[in-house]
Amino acid sequence: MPSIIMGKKMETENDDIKSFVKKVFPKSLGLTKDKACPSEDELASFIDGRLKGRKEGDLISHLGVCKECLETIRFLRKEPSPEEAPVPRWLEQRVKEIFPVRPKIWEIVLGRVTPVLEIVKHNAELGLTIPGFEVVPTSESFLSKAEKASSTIAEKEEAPVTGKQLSYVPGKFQKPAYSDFWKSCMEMRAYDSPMELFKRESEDFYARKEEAHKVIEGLRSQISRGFVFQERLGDYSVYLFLTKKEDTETVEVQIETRDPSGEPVEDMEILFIEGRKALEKLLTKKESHTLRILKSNRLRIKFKHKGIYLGQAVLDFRHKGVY
Amino acid sequence: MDFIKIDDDVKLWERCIAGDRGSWEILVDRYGRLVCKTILDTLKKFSNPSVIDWKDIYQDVFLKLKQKLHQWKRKATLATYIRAVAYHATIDRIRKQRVDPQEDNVTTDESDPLNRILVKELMSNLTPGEYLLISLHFLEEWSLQEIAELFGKDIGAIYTMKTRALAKLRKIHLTHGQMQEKQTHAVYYNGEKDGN
Repeated sequence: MPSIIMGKKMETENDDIKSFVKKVFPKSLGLTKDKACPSEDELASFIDGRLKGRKEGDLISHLGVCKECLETIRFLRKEPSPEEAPVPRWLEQRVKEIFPVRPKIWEIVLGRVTPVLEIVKHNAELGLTIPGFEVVPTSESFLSKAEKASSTIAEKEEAPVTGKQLSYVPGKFQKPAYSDFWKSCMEMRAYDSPMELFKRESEDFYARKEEAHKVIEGLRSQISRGFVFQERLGDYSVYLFLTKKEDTETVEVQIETRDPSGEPVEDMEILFIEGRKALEKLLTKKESHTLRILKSNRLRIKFKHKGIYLGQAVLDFRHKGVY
Repeated sequence: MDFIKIDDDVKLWERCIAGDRGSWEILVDRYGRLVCKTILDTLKKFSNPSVIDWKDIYQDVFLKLKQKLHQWKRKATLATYIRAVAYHATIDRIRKQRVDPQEDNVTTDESDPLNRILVKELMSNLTPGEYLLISLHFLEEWSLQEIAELFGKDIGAIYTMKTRALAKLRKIHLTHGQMQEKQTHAVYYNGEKDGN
């Protein structure tokens, strides 16, 4: 009997609380929304149980006054229906085209370099390497790509991205003589693209487009100071550093060879078997050289390591506009 | 673009931010169906799928995702975030379609000073979670199971939360009763005094 009495007492008490809640809560909860609704990211974080601390408390408080958000969470908590949802191909394509094709960073580099230098011929598949990126041209020739990239920059048109993006190239090069160039390369290593660099400074790219363009322009002029060719000779890699000088008529050349583990090879024998006399005189091991581009220059370099002939690299280039 | 192999959503998203069209295409391929399902589910629940063309909303969703590339902070999974965006885009479209937009009919009775005190007391004593639980359970008549689903917790935790909240409410209720009594006395006393 006492338990029945207790139960009845509890029931009456609960009814009291219920009526108290009904009396007070709508009025107290009827506070108008003083804050904007949480973002989709916050709602999604709450659903995934990844919103913690004060933010979680704020969101729960908000749910008490905002039925829309409450309904959103209730809906999204449920799994999507298992029914198949076929999306027409044309619609998928249209949605894909929302996103513009932007030139890759190496295309920008080529676009900046090619007005000054023109690669006429090379003996192997030359790759352009900048720290953070290793690009190996595949089907099309280097030159046609460079031209395409150049026109992309000039006309600001959409260009198809060609080439193959490979693994990250560790930036081990430390060339004091090229401090500016390497400084810009370090920058490039940290941020994959001008867009990424800009992201560091601005949260909303689209809202600050003009500013973005300025940053990107600045970056372009920085990276146009130099470019690097990578040549593979067996397991060895040969890097040709061509650094454009301010006067646009001279180029600094430096060669570095590396063994398969990526360590510089000190005792690599480098023979210049063709080229202008001045060039032959100037190009010696472990030094940087200034090359005045007047007409056309051919670099034919033979590589030997411990007496074993590895191969040769031939690179014909000329200053654009001087024929 | 087939040479880019990105398994990780975060990496994929970051590549999209960097302006990589290939990654965007992978994203569309990966989440297109989920977006479509979310739209259709939302339409079924709140409107009539035959009245509104889901294909328009589908395009809107991806347009919004592109505009909000920087807004996903990587806390939630990309799938949940995309679903949230798709849900909101659909709700926005349904709202536009409606002639009479529903207004929030929330009223505040702040004329009663006792209520104002009560609101303050409720706010300071109950946690936001307890507050929401009580209002959903008693006013909206949600079951504890439904509330547990909303909070993403098990029902045992919700039951404990409810017990704790009710204990606090009882205390407030008691104080409220005493205060009301005092007020009645004061009115009575003042009236008597005025009468004299």
